[in-house]
Amino acid sequence: MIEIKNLHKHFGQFHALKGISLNVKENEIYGFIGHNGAGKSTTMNILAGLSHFEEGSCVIVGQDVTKLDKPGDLNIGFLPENPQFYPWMTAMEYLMYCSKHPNRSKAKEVIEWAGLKQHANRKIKGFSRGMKQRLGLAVALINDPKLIILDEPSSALDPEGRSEVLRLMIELKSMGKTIIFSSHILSDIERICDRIGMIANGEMIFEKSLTSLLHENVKPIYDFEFKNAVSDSLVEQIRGHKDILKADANENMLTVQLIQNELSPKPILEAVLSLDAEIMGFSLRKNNLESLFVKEVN
Amino acid sequence: MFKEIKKEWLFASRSGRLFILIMSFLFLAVLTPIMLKVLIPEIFRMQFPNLSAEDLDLMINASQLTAVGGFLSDLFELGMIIVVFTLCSVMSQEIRDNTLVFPIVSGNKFVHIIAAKITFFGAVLSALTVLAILICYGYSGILFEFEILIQDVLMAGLMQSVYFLFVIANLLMWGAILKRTLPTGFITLVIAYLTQAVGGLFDIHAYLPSGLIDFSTKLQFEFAGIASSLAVTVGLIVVMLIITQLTMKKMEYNIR
Repeated sequence: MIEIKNLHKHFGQFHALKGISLNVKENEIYGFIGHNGAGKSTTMNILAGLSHFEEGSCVIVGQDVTKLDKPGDLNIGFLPENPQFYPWMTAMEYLMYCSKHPNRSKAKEVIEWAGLKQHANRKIKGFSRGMKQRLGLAVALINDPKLIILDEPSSALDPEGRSEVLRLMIELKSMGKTIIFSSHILSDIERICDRIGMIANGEMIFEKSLTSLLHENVKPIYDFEFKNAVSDSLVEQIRGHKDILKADANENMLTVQLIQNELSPKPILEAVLSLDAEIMGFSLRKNNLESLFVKEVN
Repeated sequence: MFKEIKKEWLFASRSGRLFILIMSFLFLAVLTPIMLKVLIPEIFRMQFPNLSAEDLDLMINASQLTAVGGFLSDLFELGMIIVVFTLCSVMSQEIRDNTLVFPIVSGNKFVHIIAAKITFFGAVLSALTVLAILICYGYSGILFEFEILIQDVLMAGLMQSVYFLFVIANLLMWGAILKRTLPTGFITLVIAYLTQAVGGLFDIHAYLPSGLIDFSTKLQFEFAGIASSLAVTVGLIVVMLIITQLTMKKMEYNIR
């Protein structure tokens, strides 16, 4: 759906993109992460045909963006980071204006999908940030594109607004759309993305599926909670296990670190269960995307 | 292109720009005959209390021709400032505020966006010019006497309308190049007044867009002069619109 190879872009002397390559497959939600100024919006603008690049290739839905007559020929939906509308227009008028083939019933359908039915005939100048974001999603969808590019769609929203936008994005996927969205809110990415690409200082750091990324970075550490305080003898017993690298206790908590990453929890659970102590619960420690992000950037 | 024209209509009417233009043109159309008939004689009487009515008439030369010529002259001098600063944002602000991002990604063509702007505002200014000049013609005819042929008045209105198209083309082109509202307005005004001054100084109005203003304010129509001035103006409008389209095509959008 999107194939970018070795993309370079300068703003004067500033080398904004230093050979970015990424690949987005059909009907997936691709999360594009990176810190502020990493080059996310620049890449998104190039994908939308709004910005030019000096070197590399960019093929969107089978079309080479350098051979386009105008950005609209790509037939994509695009929501910029700061969507700007005509404040004196109503939401319905704006959707009709952005339609390739203005159709009132289609506009009504899209506006209803975005949850703006009651505001369809209100002027946009009275809309909140969240409503504008939802209108932007409706505009991105009005021409029924296969690919939707969303630049920081949830960044400026409150938790409720963010959840709503993420829900709409999941719905878009269920409608068969391919979505690429950039964000620095990593919990949002973790919630809905199939694959992730990470950019830092204009360079692509990695591109992986979310499941494999999290799996690869699982820490082999288990936390056990006991009903009573963990005794020293109990800790010594666990330390003697062949698969255990380290074990520490803190009141009623026992932390066990395994030797291998890929080890099944079964032998450890059996060992702990055989102890003469009542277990209240246990959990496997995971690296979240945020700690991975910090690690990779550093 | 209909939806782009409708958008310009909504913009002009809801932002108050249309109202400003209508009121300004009508104000100038009504004011000039009143000035000649009432205000200027009154001022002269106050300044020169011993002046006889005959001498006053000779000094002021109040007639329909003077009134209509004065209106056309005011339309260039004052109306131009109002038009330029009312419409200097039509292109520059759209680019600067990134309001073109959604429309162009959604498939709206640059040529339609530009054509809609010049068509709509050109039509508005032409209609207002013709309406205002007819009001001035009728009102001054009532106040003085009808001495000008209506076809001459319409011809003058038509030439002013073509000149306003030249002004809009300037606003679009400089707006796309500079992306700033006030510099766009100032540079357009400088071009308008400079061509008028240069045309008068070297007697080359016939080869400049300012010829349209010169001929219309004098209400004297010399075919050769008008034809060459008209051809130059239309040619410049076409060139400026092409430059606007090429600038917009090469431009990067959604830049912070």
